[in-house]
Amino acid sequence: MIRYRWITNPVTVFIFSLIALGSSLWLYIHSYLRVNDAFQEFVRKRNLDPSPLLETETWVMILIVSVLVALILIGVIIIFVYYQKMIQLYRMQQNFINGFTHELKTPIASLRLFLDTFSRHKLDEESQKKYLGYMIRDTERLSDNVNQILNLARIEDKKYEAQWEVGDIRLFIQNWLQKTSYWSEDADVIFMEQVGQPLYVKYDINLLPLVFMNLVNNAQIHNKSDRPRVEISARLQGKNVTVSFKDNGIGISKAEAKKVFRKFYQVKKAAKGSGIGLYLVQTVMRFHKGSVRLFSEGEESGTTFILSFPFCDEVSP
Amino acid sequence: MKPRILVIEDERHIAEGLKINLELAGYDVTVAVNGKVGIQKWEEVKPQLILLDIMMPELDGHGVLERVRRKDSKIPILILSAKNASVDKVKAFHGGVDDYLGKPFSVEELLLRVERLLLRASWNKEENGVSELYEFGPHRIDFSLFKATTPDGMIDLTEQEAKILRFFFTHPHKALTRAELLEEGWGYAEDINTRTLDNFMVRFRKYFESDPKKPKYFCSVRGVGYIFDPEGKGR
Repeated sequence: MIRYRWITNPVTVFIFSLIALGSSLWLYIHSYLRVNDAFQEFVRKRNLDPSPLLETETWVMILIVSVLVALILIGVIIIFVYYQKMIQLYRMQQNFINGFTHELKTPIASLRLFLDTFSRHKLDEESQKKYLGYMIRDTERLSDNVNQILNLARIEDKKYEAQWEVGDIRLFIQNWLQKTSYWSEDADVIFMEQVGQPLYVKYDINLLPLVFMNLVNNAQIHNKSDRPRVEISARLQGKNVTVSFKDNGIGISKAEAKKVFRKFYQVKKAAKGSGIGLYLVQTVMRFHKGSVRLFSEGEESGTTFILSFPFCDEVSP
Repeated sequence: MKPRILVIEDERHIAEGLKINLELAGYDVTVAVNGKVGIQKWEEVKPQLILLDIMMPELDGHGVLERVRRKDSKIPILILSAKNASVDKVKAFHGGVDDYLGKPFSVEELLLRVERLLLRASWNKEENGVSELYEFGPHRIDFSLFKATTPDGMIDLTEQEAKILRFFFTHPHKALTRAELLEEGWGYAEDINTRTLDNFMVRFRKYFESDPKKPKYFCSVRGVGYIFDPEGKGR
């Protein structure tokens, strides 16, 4: 059975349809010409008046049939390409669901594990504190994941109610790092050049943390070094404020770099993730009338993501 | 001695939660943070059971399973994964996993499964394995001390010699190919050739045969390898 499965493969079906269509066109024309030749022979033998009109009609007929077949051909190709895209999208969506389910189930599994541990054993105070800390982080991870999806859907539907604030991005980064200091468990996240001229930007207080979280998270996941490291720096460049995230991760090839911002797209080597993080980053940055770019010297040499916001002269929103 | 369990899990919180629960249940636990490290630790620690996650960077759970099973078809492996669909389980069972538990899971259930898997593994050992003491003819081998007692005196066995002897003793009267014996003794190391094995056989005959040129216990099978006859009747 498996040996003949290729017959039902869409590509095979498509190629056979094209061959069939081409052959039938050739057969039509061929048989039409033969009938025509026989008819002319008949006219010649009987010494009838060969009508020049007949000749023209033959070629008009062939032209019309060819055009019609060409139209059918174009139609089939369009349907085929469309079908292939649908299949690809379906696969990506399945990958997303699998990846996202994993992202949800992992913190839940961790929570359950520690709740079970607490109910089964009497732990010393130090362990209790440590594991309660883990549980808090797991709930944060869970709520971040859920917020990400909900907010993305709202932005896409243009139903997101923004909570804008204008502030110094340097202060924002410092506060964010303090609040999310749990990174330090698994990675060094360092803010460079903390002092300097205030860099005012207008940002949404719920969305920007999600962008930062995604970038740091990616730097950590796609990293083979003993200790992942992310350097954040902010500066004014012309009329824009840029915030860069430079990591010591595995880097990214040029071919992949073009695709990573697509929805559901996942780097082939990635074992984890939902393929939505960088798409969210791009969507949120566009929502801020800004942009995101990435630079990498290539594989194995780290990646730098650069967020760009319009600089606000005035503090009032 | 505490049974050794290897936990291959990249989620730090879960790995630590598993470690503490298994340790409190009386096991000796080693944690590996990804598949690649997992394979290293498996070779280092020689655990009696492996708890394995599927979605991991570097080398995923299926890759680990494949590599372990290539060398060891018996060690109990339990997969713990958030991927809980039937297709995922079928794929894992095809790969040779013994049990599969979806995340989130209850600690009690996990511990009961682990206990049962280890118990079954111990039964298998009793049935198929050779006890620590083995006797044939006038000889007596103590695998726990790596010593062989022969009429000519006591011989210290190397780990490799013990491995190959054990393999012969578990397969009496069966012609074992050179490839099988090499794999048992040295795994898949490339620099080992059949000559090494033949040298080993020369040594065994010197230890255990009254006339090494006319062996009765460790006989050659032309073009195949060797056969062990515990009764010493020769061929």
